[in-house]
Formats: sequence, structure tokens, C-alpha cells
Amino acid sequence: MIDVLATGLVIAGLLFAGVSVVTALLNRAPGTVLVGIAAVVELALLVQLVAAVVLLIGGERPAEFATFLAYLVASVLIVPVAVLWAASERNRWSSVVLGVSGLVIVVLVLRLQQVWAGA
Amino acid sequence: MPEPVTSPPRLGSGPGRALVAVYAVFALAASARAMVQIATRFGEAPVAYLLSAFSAAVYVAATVALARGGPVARRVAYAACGIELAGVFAIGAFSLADPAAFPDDTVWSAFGRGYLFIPLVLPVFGLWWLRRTARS
Repeated sequence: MIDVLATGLVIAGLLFAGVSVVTALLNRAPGTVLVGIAAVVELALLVQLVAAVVLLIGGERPAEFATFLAYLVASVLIVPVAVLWAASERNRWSSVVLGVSGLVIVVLVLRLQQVWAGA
Repeated sequence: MPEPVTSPPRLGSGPGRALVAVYAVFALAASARAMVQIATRFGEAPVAYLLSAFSAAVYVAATVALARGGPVARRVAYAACGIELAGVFAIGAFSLADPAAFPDDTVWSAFGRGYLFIPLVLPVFGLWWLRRTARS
């Protein structure tokens, strides 16, 4: 797929997870910066979704099409669900929840790349 | 909402929320995996794919029960975590002893190696948290 975007997403996801963990270790609830990073990551994921859909309409097909679609749908849902779940009880564990979502995004983006390439 | 300081933490609160988040990820991953496997190539490895579906159901039950709390949900969560722990050991050992029976992986194959062994650790945390939040 779009390698530059995927690389950026992996870095952004790791940054997101890292800042979340540090926030949790400082015993704080997610602040503006962390939610801002979450928003940027989500925006990039939406761009990736649109790019993938454009490529799919253009006739390209990953080897495991069903798996690819499942990853694609999951990739845009995880951060919003994590933010909602984190917001419903704000303490250090909200930061842990966001950190988990960041790591899941990293894994998802890498798997999307793998499945697209047919690995 | 002020809560009495002496009572144990609530099931779906504090660390329990992080636990629910990780369980939700596994519920999603296992369900999606099972659906794709059963929909696209069920005939290839029916046993592995039915086990995938079963593990997905267990993860969904554990996620919902841990998030809801209450006496009934606690019992469901205990059962789900117990089944998970037994499942990951049984399927883990069986998949290594007889790889031919598992031509395709499940979440629990090789003790959850494909998922960073999180399936092995998660039920232990779940059971620990259930004990910590127990009333007596």
C-alpha cells in the first residue's frame, strides 16, 4: 500500500503508546496533548482507509481480501472506542487504555502492510 | 461519586478498565479471525476454525462480564478466564504435539505465540483481578 503513510503511522502509533505509558507512570489521566496525538493518529488512519479503498476500486486486490477488509475496518474503530472507554473513567488507567490502543494500531498497520503484500 | 475507601475496587474500574480494553482487543481479533476462516476456507481445517470461534465466544463473554460487574457477571468472568487458561494450555500443548491436527493457527496455538503469548498471561491477570475485587 502507501509505504510512507504506513511508516508514519507506525511511528505515530509508537509515539502515542509511549506518551500514554509515560502519562500512566506519572499517575495522570490523558491530557490535551495525548488526546491530540490520538486525533492525529485517527486522521492518518482515515487517510489510509480512503487510500486503500481508492486502490481497491482501482482493481488492486490483496491476497487475503477478507482479512484485509477486517483489519481496515478495525483500524479506524479502535482509537475512537479507546478514547470513549478512557473518557468514561478518567484516571491513570485511562492512559493505559490509550496506550493499549496505540500498540494495537502499530500491529494492525504492520499486518495491513503484510496482507497487502501477500505475506 | 464518593465511594467508601475500605471496600475492594470495583470489577470494571481502575486496572479493570485496562483489562477490559485488552480483552476487547482479543474478542475482536478472535471473532474476526474466526469469521474470516469459517467464511473463506472452513473445509481446510474445521477443528482449528471451530476452536477459533469457540475462543472468540469465550473472549466476548469475558469482556462483557468484566466490564459489567455484579455477582452473575463475576461468575461468568471466572468461568471464561478459567476456560481460557485451560484452553490455552490444552490447545497449546496439543498443537505442538500434533501439528498435523492444526494445519492453521488458532489464537491458542503454541500457547498463543502468534499473539506475543498474551493469551497465556491475560486469564492469569483476569483471575487475579477477580480475586482482588472479591467482596470477602
